[in-house]
Amino acid sequence: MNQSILVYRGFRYLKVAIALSLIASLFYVFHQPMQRPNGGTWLGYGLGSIGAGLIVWLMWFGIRKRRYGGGRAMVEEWLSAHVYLGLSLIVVATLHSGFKFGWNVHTLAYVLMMTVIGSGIFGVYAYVRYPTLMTENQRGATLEMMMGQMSDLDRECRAAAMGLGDDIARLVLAASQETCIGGSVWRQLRGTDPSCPTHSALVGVHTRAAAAPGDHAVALRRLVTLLQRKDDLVGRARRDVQIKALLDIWLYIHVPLSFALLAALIAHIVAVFFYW
Amino acid sequence: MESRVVFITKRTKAGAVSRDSRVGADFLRFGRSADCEVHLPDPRVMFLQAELHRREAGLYIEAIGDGDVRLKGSVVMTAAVRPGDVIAVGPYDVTIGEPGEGEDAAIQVELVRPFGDDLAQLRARSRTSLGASWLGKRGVSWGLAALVVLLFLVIPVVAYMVPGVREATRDWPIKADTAWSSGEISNPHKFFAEDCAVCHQKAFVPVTDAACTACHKTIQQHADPKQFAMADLRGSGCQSCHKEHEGPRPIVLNNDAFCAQCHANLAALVPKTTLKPAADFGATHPEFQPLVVTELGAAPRRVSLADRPREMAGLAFPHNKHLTPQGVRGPLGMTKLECASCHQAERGGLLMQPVRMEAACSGCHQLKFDPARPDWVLPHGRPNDVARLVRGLYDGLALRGGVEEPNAPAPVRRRPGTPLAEPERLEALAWADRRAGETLRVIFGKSVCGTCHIVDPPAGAMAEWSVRPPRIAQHWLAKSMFRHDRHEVFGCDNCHAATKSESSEDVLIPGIAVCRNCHTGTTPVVNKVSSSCISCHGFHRPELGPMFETAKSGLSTN
Repeated sequence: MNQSILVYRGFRYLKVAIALSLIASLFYVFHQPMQRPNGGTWLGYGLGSIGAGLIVWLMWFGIRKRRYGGGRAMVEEWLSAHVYLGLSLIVVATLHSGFKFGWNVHTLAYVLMMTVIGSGIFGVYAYVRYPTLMTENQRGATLEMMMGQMSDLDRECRAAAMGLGDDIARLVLAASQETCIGGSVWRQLRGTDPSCPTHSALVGVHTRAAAAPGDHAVALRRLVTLLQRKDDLVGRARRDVQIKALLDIWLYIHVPLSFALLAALIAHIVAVFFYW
Repeated sequence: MESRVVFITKRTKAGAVSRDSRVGADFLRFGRSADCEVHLPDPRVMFLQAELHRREAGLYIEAIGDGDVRLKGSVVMTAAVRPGDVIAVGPYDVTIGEPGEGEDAAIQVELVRPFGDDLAQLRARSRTSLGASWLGKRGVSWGLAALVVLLFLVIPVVAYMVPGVREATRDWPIKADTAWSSGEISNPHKFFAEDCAVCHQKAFVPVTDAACTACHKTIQQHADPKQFAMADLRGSGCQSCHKEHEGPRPIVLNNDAFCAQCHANLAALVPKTTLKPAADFGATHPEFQPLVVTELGAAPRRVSLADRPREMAGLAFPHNKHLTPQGVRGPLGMTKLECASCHQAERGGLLMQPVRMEAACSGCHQLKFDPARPDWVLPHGRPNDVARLVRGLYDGLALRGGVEEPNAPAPVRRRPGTPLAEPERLEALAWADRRAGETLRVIFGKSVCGTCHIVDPPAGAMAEWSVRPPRIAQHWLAKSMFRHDRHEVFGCDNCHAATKSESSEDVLIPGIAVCRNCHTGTTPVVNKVSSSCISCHGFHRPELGPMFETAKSGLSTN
């Protein structure tokens, strides 16, 4: 997935979305209800029906994308339409509300919808921006390859530290046994580890290398080189995990809130007609 | 000290593969250092971690530096060891054996906790995708949806059906009945706002007019249903104009377009209407049509100010003479009059109080008629009583006697109290009748009553003078409401040209142009007050019957 979903067939769905938004806005501007504009006028009911239909259709994408080869349209086309028509919902639903908000199920549905759309906008940004960053960061190596290189370097570091002092050995051992990539949700999204054992080892050994005499310094500098390479790898691996997490995180908002929105939408419609 | 050191390098099914060596040294050193007698090449072992000494009593193990040395699981600093003991030095187990011939010590060394697979361990430590974290989609999705359905659908519906649940959930942060409310209830209805069923009487049925008229029983018609077929406004309900849930603002529809639907061209809908087209105060509104008495003694009728009507009230009152800058001459000298000297607003501020002669005029216009008898004062407004009073006064005067008028007959001028013979009495009464007649002519003439009123002389011998009662409209613009109190920052002469009015026939009600100096319709204009239809006009007309009957028979069908 990349920018092609945005330019799909010469921005076909962008045009559809703009047309829908414009038509809705024109109706809203020229519609002069007796009362303050609200969802209960004929235009209000009309925009509400379009909005509700759009929400159900947009959610259907979640089912459609799992059906490989099903239906006439490609998933790519569906996604392009999903993005643009989803954005047009901002206009349709806001005009449906008549800018009337309160602490009730109706505004709850609206807020959920806007949050879902907002997370979707981030998703589009992520899918346009991050794959490039990920490729640049990986430099041809996958995360698995990076981790393999790390463990090789760990072995080399340990061997290099074998003849060195206990404090050095302790640093190197910690670097090889305690360094981890990713971790908690926050750690993954943050992309760094402020108390990274590998980095601590690098700094510690580097400091001692500067002060060490003769032969000892040669061995320490070799170790510094190894640790430097590992620290580099660790940084890139964490960045890789971070980009992947950013590519995924919005879906953990987008999907669950969509379902909450569907529930709130049903409650909204029932409430409106229950107390007509 | 001669020692035998056996390194177990590998264990197979067939047995252990080992490498034996003999070490001759004062004591054995265990450590990562290549100098150590027992070299333990593992990064987890200290450079120098332990020493094994032989003393009188036997073998001793000693920990060196920070590294752990464990004997049977316990950390030791110095401990005696016997054959069979196992000492843990880092990942190695050192087992003490029986020394052979010529040996001081025998030990077996085995790496029992080898360094694991680096990559596997790194993978095990690292969590590199959100899918591996606690975050989830499916469970959260269903959970959130279920929560929303429960709080905002199930509980409100159950609360509607089971009153007990409504009561029980009333103090919840998410109230069953307000969670569905589309907006705040207007102030007058707030006292029952928590009880939806007051208005929403049946589920899935729009609020009926009957719900409104249950309280608003006397709310009146807009037009007379006897005269106009469409007066019941069939098809429109209370909700057409009164929309609830719009916050504390009044729920009265304030939209000229609604009124203009019919009133922009009412004659097209109701041919016999007398109402002229009106759609916007600033643009489309007829000239005012006050109630004016255009014919003496006739009932007032609505006349457009454009036709310059003359008010035939039957009262002479030149405003300009009373409002001269230097004042008017009165019993107490020159008195400066103002509008408020005679005209006072009603308490409610809507209309002006009627001007009463006794309060407004009698200070100057005193109803005295006999200069010789200044204590004789006439009652105002009762011409028949005036005649009776005057005749009675002169009869009494004549019969009492003592009148000092040279032309009066002797019985009238006699000493008071002297008895009268019948011929004398008749003579005295004849004088009194003549005198009263003259006086009544003066009273009802230009000097007293006729100053202001139209007076009719006696129609026959037995008839008396009569005064035509003036007819002055109390509510000139009867179809609208003008609040004097809201305009009190302006002087009266801003609107009423009273100082220039020479005749009471002038209609001093200002025309629409005067109002439009400050007011315009609902389309905003700079420096003008936007005024809608209901700024001046009411929809429900108090003089008509209640709308309720009609509502019951026709409107509540939707």
